[in-house]
Amino acid sequence: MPPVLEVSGLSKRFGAFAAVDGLSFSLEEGEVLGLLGPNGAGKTTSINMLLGLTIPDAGVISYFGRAFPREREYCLSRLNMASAYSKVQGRLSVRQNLEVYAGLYGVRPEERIAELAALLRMERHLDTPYRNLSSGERTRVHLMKALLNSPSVLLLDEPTASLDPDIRNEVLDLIRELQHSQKVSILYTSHDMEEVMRICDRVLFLSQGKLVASGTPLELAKQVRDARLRVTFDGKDAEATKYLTGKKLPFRFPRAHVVEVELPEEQIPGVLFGLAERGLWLTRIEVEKPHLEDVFLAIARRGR
Amino acid sequence: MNVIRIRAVLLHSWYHFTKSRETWVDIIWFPLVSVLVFGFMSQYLGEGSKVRFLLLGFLLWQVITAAQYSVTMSALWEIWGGSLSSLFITPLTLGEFVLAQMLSASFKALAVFAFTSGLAWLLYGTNILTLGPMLALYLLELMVFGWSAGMFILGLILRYGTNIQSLAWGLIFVVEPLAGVFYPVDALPAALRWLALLLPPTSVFEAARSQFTAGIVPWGLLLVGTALNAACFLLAALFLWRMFHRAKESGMFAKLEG
Repeated sequence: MPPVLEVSGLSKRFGAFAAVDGLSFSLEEGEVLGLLGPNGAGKTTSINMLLGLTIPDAGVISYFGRAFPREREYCLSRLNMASAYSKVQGRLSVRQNLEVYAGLYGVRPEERIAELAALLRMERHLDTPYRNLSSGERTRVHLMKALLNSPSVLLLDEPTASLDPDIRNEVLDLIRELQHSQKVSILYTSHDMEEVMRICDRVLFLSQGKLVASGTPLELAKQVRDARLRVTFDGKDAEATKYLTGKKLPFRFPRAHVVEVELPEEQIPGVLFGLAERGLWLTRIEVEKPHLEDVFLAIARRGR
Repeated sequence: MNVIRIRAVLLHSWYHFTKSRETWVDIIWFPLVSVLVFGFMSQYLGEGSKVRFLLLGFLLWQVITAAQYSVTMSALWEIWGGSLSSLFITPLTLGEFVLAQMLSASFKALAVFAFTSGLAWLLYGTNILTLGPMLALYLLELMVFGWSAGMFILGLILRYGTNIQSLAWGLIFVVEPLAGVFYPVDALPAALRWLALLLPPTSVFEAARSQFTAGIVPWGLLLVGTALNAACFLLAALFLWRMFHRAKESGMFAKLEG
């Protein structure tokens, strides 16, 4: 089955600044793909190009095998977007705003709005002006708008920013549910790495406009940093130093009788055994596994 | 062109109009005050038909300003509200958006015209209907010019951003002293007359004045004016389309709301 979204060699320069530089990727049906990177990495410019708000200098975008923006109407009628930063008219009620957008997508408004209001627990806010809503409620309105046309592709730009933890959880469950039940494909940006780990099947990292890493969240996390082993033991710091120096592993003593070692996960049992063999009485063992956040931080540092 | 989407933009425009008092002030309050000023001034200056045309000229001028204002402001409200990009990530096209705004502008301009004309008749006994069926042609010509001006100014705002948004209120008044709204083109310095005659509304004001004061419709002048108006409309539409495209190329379109 061909990808629902295929991007090849997408580039955009603003003067001398390359905002996006030769970006290529594809989004498969029913996949949640994370688009991550530090501020200025090119995520927003990429999304703007994918929505037709910015015209690329080079590259090809196609949705469902059809060229975009040449077949703009077909493509846009089957995709949608929600962002914590987008807005609808503040003076209009939620219902009025959604009626307008339903018309723009050619959807019968009454039933669909009621259905989405129930799904996102917004029934009692339908006649409230958008500007009177809390930021969490606004985010839910954006999600309602994004789901109006039952899209096959959803671009979600930090959709859970400013949501309370319980609603955030529900939204993440809803996104997963959409992915499974309706095979909706989702391109997802977020700064919350825990959320990305939870929801994304695959992740793309951008830095300075370029794709610098891609893979599943776990694969990426493993690429960047070793695990951190923290051992608390009884006496004999000198023995521990001698052993770890011999193993050529980076380590430090944050305080007496506690050592932190950075090492590949698979070496952990051997090192613990080695320390114990040298007569150290290990009283506490903590392992901090590599996390997607470390990938993010490493890439951000490299980009500076 | 998709009728359902045009209807949705019209609905948006209507909802917005009902909720924004600023628009009521701009569209109703200023014309109301102006009709009083021009009415009293006409009374003070005397009873001649040239003097009475001052008020009629003002009534017709309102059609241009209301139509231009409505077309330009519709997009500005979306920009201020941060929702312009949300509209254009739907299948809505620029042509559908602009057509809907022209229809909405026509309703508003005709409502303003009916309101101020009614006041002029009630308060000063100046009846614009004395222009007869020709009035419909004059209104259409002025409306089309208002749309063209609206599209041109909107194109500039899309391309150069909201730091030039005051053009939405001010730029149209460049036309007012030249278009023979209150006085004939002959009253202008010779160097400016050719420029005045290149402006499409000039032919409408000159024709209406001639009909009102001498009972003669200068059809030749109106025909030239219509041709100029059509050219102006096409150029403005082309300019807007080009600026919309340029704003998307430069990244300005996505940044307008920021």
